[in-house]
Amino acid sequence: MTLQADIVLCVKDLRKHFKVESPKRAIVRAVDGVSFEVKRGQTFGIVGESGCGKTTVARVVLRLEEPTSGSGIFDGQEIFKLGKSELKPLRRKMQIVFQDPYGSLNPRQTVIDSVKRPMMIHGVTSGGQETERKALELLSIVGLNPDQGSRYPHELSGGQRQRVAVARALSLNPQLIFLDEPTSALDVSVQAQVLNMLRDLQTKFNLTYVFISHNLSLIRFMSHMLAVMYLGKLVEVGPTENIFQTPHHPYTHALLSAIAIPDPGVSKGRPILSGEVPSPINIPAGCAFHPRCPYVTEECKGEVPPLVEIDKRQYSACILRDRRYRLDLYKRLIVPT
Amino acid sequence: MAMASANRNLVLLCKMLRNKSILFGLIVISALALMAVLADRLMPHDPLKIDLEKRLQPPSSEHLLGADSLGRDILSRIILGSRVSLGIALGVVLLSLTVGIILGTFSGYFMGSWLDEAVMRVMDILMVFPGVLLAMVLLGVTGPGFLNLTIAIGVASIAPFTRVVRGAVISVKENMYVEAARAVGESTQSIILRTILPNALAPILTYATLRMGVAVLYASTLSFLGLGIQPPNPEWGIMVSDGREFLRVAPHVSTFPGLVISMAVLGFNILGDGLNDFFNPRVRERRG
Amino acid sequence: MLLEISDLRLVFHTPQGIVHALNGVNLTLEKGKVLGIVGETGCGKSVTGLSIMRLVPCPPGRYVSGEVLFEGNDLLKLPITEIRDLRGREIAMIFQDPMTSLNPVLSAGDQVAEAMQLHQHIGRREAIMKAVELFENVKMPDSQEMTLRYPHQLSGGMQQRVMIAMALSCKPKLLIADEATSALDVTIQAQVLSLMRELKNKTGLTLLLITHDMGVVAEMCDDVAVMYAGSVVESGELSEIFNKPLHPYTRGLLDCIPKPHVKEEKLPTIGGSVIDLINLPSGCAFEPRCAESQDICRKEPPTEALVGRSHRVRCFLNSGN
Repeated sequence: MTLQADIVLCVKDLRKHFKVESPKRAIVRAVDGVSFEVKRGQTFGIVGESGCGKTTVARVVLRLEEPTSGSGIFDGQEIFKLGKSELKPLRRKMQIVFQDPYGSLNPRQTVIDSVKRPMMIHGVTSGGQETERKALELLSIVGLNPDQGSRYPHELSGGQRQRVAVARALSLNPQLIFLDEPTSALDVSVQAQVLNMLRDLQTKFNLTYVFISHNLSLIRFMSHMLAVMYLGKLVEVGPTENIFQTPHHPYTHALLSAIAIPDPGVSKGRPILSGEVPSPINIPAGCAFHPRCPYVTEECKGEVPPLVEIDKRQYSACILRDRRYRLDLYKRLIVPT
Repeated sequence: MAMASANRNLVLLCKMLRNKSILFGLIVISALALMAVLADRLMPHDPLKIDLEKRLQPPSSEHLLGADSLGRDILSRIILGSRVSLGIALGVVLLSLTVGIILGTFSGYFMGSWLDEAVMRVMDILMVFPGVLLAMVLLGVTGPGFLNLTIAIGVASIAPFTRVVRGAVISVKENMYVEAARAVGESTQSIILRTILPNALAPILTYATLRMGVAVLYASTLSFLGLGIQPPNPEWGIMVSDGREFLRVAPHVSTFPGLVISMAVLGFNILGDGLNDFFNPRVRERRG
Repeated sequence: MLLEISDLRLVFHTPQGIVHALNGVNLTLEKGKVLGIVGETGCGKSVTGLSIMRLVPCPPGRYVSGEVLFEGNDLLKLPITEIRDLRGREIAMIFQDPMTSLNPVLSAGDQVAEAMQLHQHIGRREAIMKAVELFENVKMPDSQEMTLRYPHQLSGGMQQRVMIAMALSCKPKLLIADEATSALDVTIQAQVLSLMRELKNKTGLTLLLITHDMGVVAEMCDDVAVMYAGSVVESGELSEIFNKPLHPYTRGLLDCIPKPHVKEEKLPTIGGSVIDLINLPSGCAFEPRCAESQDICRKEPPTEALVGRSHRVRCFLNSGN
């Protein structure tokens, strides 16, 4: 299988199922057949509401959880076949920034120690002095004052802690960085600073990100490609702009319509998606979205619809393929094209 | 960098001392510790010297706390006894803490595994027996004496320590920074030693402090029953036991050593409570 | 005027020093309208909401000055018994995390019934029947069955509906929602906001929405108050605030939010970080972060000026207008 040189990660049919105690021997299909490709230098966004499995995808690819099945080619290697001892070199190339700035840094380690630690574990520098130098450099790259290095996490603000987390992720020059809701715990003004920084770093160092969020506005700002997840499956994948202009899958429509837009000129009346996300233990048959879908047909309750290309590089898992609409977010209208 | 952590520890110490419980506890324990260390210099009389003429004498200018059934100076015996009691407390906690940390850490980190199940079932069995009873059984096998007493009480304290350590490890393990350490490539050993244990220290230390008080109590109880320290060595428990027959005529013989036992245990308990409150961020907030 | 807050000042005495949580808050809320209080962490919006319900613990809090007039009565001066009577019956509040606000050992129906039994002096059976009716009003499917469920058996959206049902059970005049939808998924948030709007239109309820989300404000509110460092820096009608923001902080706040309906290249940011409420500067609290600050901004705190029909700003840049 030849792999284009500019594809960093290629995931095929990834599944992660959890067994639960109650109700009896039920299975939670947290990730149920997810496939996508991440191009170098770009940001791949994964959006979905709680329970859709987006964080689980990241954790499985990072091998923080073991996959139930599926394949993942990263930097030419089949990462799901690596043994435990081979994981360490993998960790060098794949990093993650977690959601919680208040919990992802060791409270007993100074900021600079947290940044130095990955380099020391993997022996990427020639010695203590170089490690120190690189760590200080990283701190200033993320916009922190070098003398904040000797501080402890609880002495820093949320935004500053996230910057430390980013510096730590960068310290090993990874090929891919997962950003799992990196700004949802931050104030909007701090969020803007951190997001700008992430984008600048991406341009400067040709970084590749997988950006996970439930916030569509952030996803539009950050990502080049977008995947929408619902109950463990991808329902729509494609270039972000295309999806925002002409979303195909009804769930994508619903997500986009539901956003509270910070502009009073936007029409308030719009179709609101009814119902709740079903429990991942009891995923509806056929298309998992069918109980809530305004366009549901009998066929939808039968087989699980596959992701099919409906337009240039835009894939959707809705069988009503011929339906073409244009979403006007401003007027909140779905207009047939 | 070393200056930063030394400074930070100093600041922490000052904050701790502002807590009244910690302060009180530390004062009491320090007083007892000083007594133990400087015993030779503090004792007004030879604690072993028998003087039958002074039998059961109430407190006087010569014997500040009176004399016991063999005319020995109670004050001196209490002072020397502190060495025994605190020494046992220290030994017991060191022993059970070490074993407890090893077992509890593995048990907690590998929660749910066969190792965890095995360890916890063994601890469950140990905890069926009341601590004093367990120690008594062990002493019955080994015989009395300072070292045997320490080991017996130590073994009886392993189970509760293991559970506390396990609980602390499990709760620290929930934190994101442990996951972050894994994501960065830290080995399991490194995660346990560098990330989990330092952050689990607070509840473990608090519990260790409380256990020292318990150890003093156990030692006194067992010696009271004749199973621990043997006469003529002064030990607070034996001293209480000695004075049993004379409670009506010479209550001071049992009372003073009894009071000192209470004070020691109280000191450890209050220190432990203070540490518990100090490390619990929610309690700190409410008071502030 | 249903609610009028004038010059409210609140401090907290903490071991680290005195925290100036509220520094002269002025707000008005007309009956039947929706007011949004918006700001970032530490601006005082939640504390303002709690003050209306007298839920701020005093000590360590202390109201230095100001009034909270509800239908003309100063809530800060009422005896605690009258406040307790007011809570739930005239003014109700719902919070961000319904899971922690609901009693885990009581069923949803019982909790709603409890409030009614307390304030309306009706029996349990009648209260449960009313609870079912309330659940229907908040669009809960299978309302009869839902009354039997316990909080942990309900999803976030359902829990929040239970909270709303509880809050509305005694037909209060004012509902305060403190980040009530921030923890909910996007589609569920849309449902709950739509529900709140419908309830407001049907019953003439007055809403006070406390949020950090400008989108929610734009959706729901008639009037907006922007808070920073314990005071209202700008307030006015929704269109005035969004289309003609005058205070640099308001402008910064509106600019730095990523907008889903336009493609942006870079997010404008507000420099610096949120102020320390213990060491407030002697001049304008926003001055250290303000790109347009002048000398006078450092020397004295600006006073509120009326600029337009109901548009107020606390900024020296606008006092000349």
